[in-house]
Amino acid sequence: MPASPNQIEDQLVQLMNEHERPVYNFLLTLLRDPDMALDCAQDTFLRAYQNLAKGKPVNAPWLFKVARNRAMDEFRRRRHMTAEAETLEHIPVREATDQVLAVRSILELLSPSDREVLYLFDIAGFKTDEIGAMLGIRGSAVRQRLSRARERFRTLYGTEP
Amino acid sequence: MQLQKHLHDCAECRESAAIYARQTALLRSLPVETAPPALRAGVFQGIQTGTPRPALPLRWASPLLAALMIALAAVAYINHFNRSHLVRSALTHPSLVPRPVVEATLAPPGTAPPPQVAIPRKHSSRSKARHPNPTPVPTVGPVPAGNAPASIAQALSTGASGSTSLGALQPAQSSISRATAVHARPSLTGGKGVPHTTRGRNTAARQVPPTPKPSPVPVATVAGASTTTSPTAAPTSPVIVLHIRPTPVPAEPPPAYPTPPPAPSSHPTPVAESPALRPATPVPTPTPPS
Repeated sequence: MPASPNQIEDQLVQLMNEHERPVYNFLLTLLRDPDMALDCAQDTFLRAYQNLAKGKPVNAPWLFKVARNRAMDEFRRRRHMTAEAETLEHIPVREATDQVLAVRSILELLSPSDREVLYLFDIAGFKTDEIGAMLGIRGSAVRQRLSRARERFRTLYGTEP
Repeated sequence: MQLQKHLHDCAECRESAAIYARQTALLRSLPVETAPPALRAGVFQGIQTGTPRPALPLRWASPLLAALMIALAAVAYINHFNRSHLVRSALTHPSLVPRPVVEATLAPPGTAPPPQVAIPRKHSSRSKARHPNPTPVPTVGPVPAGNAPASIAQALSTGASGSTSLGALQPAQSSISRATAVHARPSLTGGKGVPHTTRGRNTAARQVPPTPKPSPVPVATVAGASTTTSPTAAPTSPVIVLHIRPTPVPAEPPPAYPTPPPAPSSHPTPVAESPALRPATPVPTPTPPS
C-alpha cells in the first residue's frame, strides 16, 4: 500500500534529522565548496523523497552513495571551473585551531578518493564492506585504498600522528 | 581476539594501530558543520514545486547527442539512397536501355515460326514490389513472310496509338522517360503493341502531349531485304516507319570472252536479268551407277 504524501514527508524529515549533517559534511569534505555541497545535498534528499514515494527504502548507505555519485558528477562538471584556492576561502571555520587547520590542509592535499574513504571510515563510521557497497568495489579494495590513504595522510602530516 | 592477541605480541603492528587511532581522532576532531537552513528549505520547496530530478549529467548528454547525430546521418543516407536508386532505376529502365538489333528474317510461306525469344527484364526489389505482375515484354522473332506485311501494318497502327500510354507512366519514370516511355513495343509476330508502361499514378503526366517524333529510320525493307528495328529510333518514336524499296539488281557483267554477234530474233534479250528468273545453281548431271 503506497504511503500518503504526508507520511512520505514525515519519513523524509526523519531522514534529514538523522543524516542531514553527516551527508552535508561528507559532501563538504569531498567538494570543499559549501554551495556545491548544498546543491548536492538538496538533490540527494530530493532523490530520497522520490525513492520513498516509490515505496523503496532509504538508509544511510543509500544516502551517502547518492551523495557521493552526485559529488562525482559535480567534480566532472566543474573540474576546470573552480579554483582550489577560491574554495578554501569559502570553507567556514569555527574555532579553528592549529591542529584543525593542519588536518584540513592535509585533506586538501589528498585526492577525493582518499578523502572519501577516510571520511566514510573514520568519521562516518561505516565498515569497509559498506563503503565497498557504496563505491561499487570490494571490501578488500576499500581496505587497500584506506591503508594507502592513511599512509599518505601520515606522510603529509609528519611523524607526529 | 586474534587482532588483539597479535597486537599484544607484535610491537610494529601495535605502533601502526596507535598511529591509525590518532589519525581517526584527528579526523573526528574536525568541527562538524551544521547544514544550512537553505538545505531543508530547498528540499521542501523542490517537493512542493515538483522540481524534476537534477539536470541530466553531461556524461549522458554526449552519448545521446552522438546517437542523435548517427540517427540523423542514417536518415539522410537512406533518403539519398532512395533518391539515387529511383534515378538509377529510371535510367536503367528497359525502355531506356538500348536493345540489340533484331533482325526478322523472312521465312518461306507455310513454315512454322521458330520459338520466340523473350528479352528478359531485370527488376529490382523495389520495382518488383511496384510491379507485382510486370507486363510481359513483347517478343521479337522471325516473321513468316506471309504474315510480315500484316504484322508490320498492325504495329504501325499500334505505334500510332502509342501516345495513349502516356497517362500510364510511373511516377519515378515520368520525369525522365516522359518523352521516351510512349514507346510501345509492337510485336512483329503478334502485333499487339502493348505498351510496357500501362500502369501509373501520375495523373499530371497524362496531360503531357506526345513528344514530336524524330525522323523515322528505315526499319524494314521488303522484296528481298530484311526487316530491322533500330534500337535508337524505337524508344523515341512510337511509329515504325516502313520504307519499301526495291532491292537493286546488279547488272550482268560483260562476258570476258568475245561474244558472237547476236542472232536475229523476234524476242529481244533483256539487258538485266532478275535473279529470280535465273537458276540459282546449275543442276548437276547424274552419273550412272557403276
